[in-house]
Amino acid sequence: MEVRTNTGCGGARVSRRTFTKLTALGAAAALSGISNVGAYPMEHFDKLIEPAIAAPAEAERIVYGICEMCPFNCGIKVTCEEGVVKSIEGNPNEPHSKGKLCARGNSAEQVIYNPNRVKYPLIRTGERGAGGWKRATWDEALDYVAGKLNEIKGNYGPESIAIIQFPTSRMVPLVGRFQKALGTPNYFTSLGTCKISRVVADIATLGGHILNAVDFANAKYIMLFGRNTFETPATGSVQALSAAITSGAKLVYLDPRYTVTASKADEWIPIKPGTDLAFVLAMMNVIIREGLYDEEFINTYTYGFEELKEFIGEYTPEWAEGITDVPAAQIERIAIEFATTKPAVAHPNWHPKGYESETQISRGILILNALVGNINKPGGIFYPRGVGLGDIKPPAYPEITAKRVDGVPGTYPLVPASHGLWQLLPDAIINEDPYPVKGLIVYRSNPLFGMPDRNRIIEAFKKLDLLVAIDILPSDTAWYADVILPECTYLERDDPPMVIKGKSPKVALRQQCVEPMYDSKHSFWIFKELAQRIGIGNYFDFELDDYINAQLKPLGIDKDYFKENSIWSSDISPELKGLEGMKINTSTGKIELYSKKLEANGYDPLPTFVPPKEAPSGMFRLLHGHIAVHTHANPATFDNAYLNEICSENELWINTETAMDLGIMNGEYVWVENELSRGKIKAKVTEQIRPDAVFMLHGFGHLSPDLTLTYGKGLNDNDFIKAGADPIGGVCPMGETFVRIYREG
Amino acid sequence: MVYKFLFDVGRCIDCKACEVACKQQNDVEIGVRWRRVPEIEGGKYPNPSRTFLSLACFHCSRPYCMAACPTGAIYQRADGIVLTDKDKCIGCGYCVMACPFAVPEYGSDGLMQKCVACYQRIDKGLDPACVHTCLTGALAFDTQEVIAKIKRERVAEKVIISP
Repeated sequence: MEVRTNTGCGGARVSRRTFTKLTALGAAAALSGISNVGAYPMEHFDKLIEPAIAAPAEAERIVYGICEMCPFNCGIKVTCEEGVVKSIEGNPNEPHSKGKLCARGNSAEQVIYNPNRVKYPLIRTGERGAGGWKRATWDEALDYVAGKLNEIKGNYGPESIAIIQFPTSRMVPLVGRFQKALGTPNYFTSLGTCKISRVVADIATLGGHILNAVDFANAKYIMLFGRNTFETPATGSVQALSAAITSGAKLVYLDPRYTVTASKADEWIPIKPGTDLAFVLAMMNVIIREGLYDEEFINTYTYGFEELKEFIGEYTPEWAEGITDVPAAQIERIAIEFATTKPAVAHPNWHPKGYESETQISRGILILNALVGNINKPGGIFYPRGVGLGDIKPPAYPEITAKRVDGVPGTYPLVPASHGLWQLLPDAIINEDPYPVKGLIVYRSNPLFGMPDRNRIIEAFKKLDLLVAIDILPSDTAWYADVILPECTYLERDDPPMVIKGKSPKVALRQQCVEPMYDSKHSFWIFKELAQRIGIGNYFDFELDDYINAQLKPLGIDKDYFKENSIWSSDISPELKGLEGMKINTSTGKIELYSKKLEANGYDPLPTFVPPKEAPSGMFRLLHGHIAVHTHANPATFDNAYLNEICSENELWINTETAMDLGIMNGEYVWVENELSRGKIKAKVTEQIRPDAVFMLHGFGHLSPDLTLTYGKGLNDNDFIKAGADPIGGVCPMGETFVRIYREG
Repeated sequence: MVYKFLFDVGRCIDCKACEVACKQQNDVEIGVRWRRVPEIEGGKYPNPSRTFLSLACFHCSRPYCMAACPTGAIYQRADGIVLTDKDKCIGCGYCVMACPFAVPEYGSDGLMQKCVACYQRIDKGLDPACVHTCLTGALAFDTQEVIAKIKRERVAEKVIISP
């Protein structure tokens, strides 16, 4: 069946050089110079050419900004010429990138000049997901959306409108303002399939979430429990870990798969999936038994050591050996090395493993760090320092009496409502439990691709009266939407400032490099226009510049500061001086080895090991993960000519012996199947994975035909994963996924 | 003064930042890759190995490609950077056959292209794009004397830090 693709996406791929020529020579000359012009209607070029014709030729111009290819938001330095982005590199004064970018950051021009961009507002004409669209003016599209929102609000109340947005957007506070003014509690980010349980573990143990604050560069012994630092490249972490390895730090890496990070480790431990906590508990057992813990630190800064000591007695290395597949002697040796090499650090992970006991896994690793007293010291985990930004005080918000539909905080009292559990939204929509959700505004997020169980999400979408996607590319979610509102890219906009938390905080500003292409708009403008149309315009009674300046005011600077300076630096010393004089935001004012917060909420206050589910006979555990050139569900890396050229399709990693048993050859397409889905994927027969697990790179198998580079390539891991939640921290237990693998026929 | 690349295999993490920095800074067309990072897999579970090699033109001191070029399109600057004069290239492919590393590639115009060591950046005193963006210091570019010195120092460091 041929799917009609007329979102206006696609057409000739314009290289930057061609584009520069094009803008210089004008429309007629330019079109004759491009092949495939027939497929690319003239109207698409209108906006493309306009800025350069209107503006006089400009000399090379440098603009400092913030990358948006992944959640890490590195500082960038963009060279522009004649209204075109010419090249991009890292901002040397920004503490993470230090002037260097990963492949994704380097590929920015393939986002801004991607011919698949959504070029103008679109309103659906046929069935959802069938690909029928009509081009609309902004007024038509916004009036349509506002009309529907008012209708839903009138019929079902404001709580039946849910909002999903990507959590590291600079627009978070302003979209939050829109949500609160609208009066709905149902606001979500993607953290339910990411680090939400780690956030909860941090709060329960340390009194606050410490992000990625691990001082790799000064550590002498580093343990990573599946934290694949080199393939999920935060530029700062990569540089720091690499520097540590170069200067002789020992790296111990646990993962069922031999990742790039594993290949750089001194010791790779192919641990049985889902048993990391057993390994950690056995390490604690040895450290406490041998008296190798930092007694002074424990006595001064922690709560619950005696309870932990009593609890840990049964978790011996011999016990752990039978669970983890790691010899007891090896666990014992590593525990002693970890406790006696100073400084030693264990990264508490990001999205650790995807098990129902994920909060306790994260807590176990945090407690391990506390036992050796390496918190807020060089080479340890630390509390990142930030600075407060200003605000434009909103009018009083309406009272929200409706409960959230995801059970936060009723069923999940510790999960922050600033993120919620998005993976539980489809079931709430389908079952209308506890009430109908009829409208969904999705801002630069891709729930249809990023959440588990795609068929279930499509079913849920069918029950909506309105699905709006605000996006740059025609993502899968956009493809199933009623209205697509084209946002401009991060190179075409100013944004509210970003606090870079760290040893010494800094503030960066995303600044517009070039004019927005086509009919794309800033999301601030989009939300403001919508607000005005649904009677909450008084909450947006200002311009973006006013908001930026209000945020910067406590720093004593305004937006213009960043025309001359690439970054704002605080005068806080970056030195890590331990915890003396620091306020720890737990109920005991100490780091809680025994969590009072968990106890008070009826959870296990100590990190008891819960075994993962066993694979049913004939099935394999499906692991998922990342590669350095792609990001999550964001089509900006998958439908990106530079990155797609490097990695255009995912493969199923199968251990050589397993493949021999199944009669599977390297490179052939095999079936993957479980109760939720079935699909074909290329087999990668390899020595780099345990025989009882298979691995699939996340991010392939897109549904939107207008993502022409990536559509039809690879398989989506999420198709095989069930939605669910860790009862404490709420993360979706994505690691508890089993599949059958077989050849054709 | 002759320039050389340094590649430190121990530091390369296969992140491909070098590949993409090269493409965007030089506007290399899709399908042609002046720098590539192939992987070599080895070993047996549970002791496998992965090795990554970031490879581009070596700017050889005696470039076989240049010797093989029948039209004189390939030339070498005084600083060792090997370049191609597109006006003289006829796309015959002798350079591809002569190069021991199969570096030269054809663009959609049918003509040879390859790494130019970002000579425009070098002339401004900057590192090539790949080196500039390398997150781990696996790539370096400098005079051959400096490159040899860096290499010696790194070997010495390894001797000192390993027990």
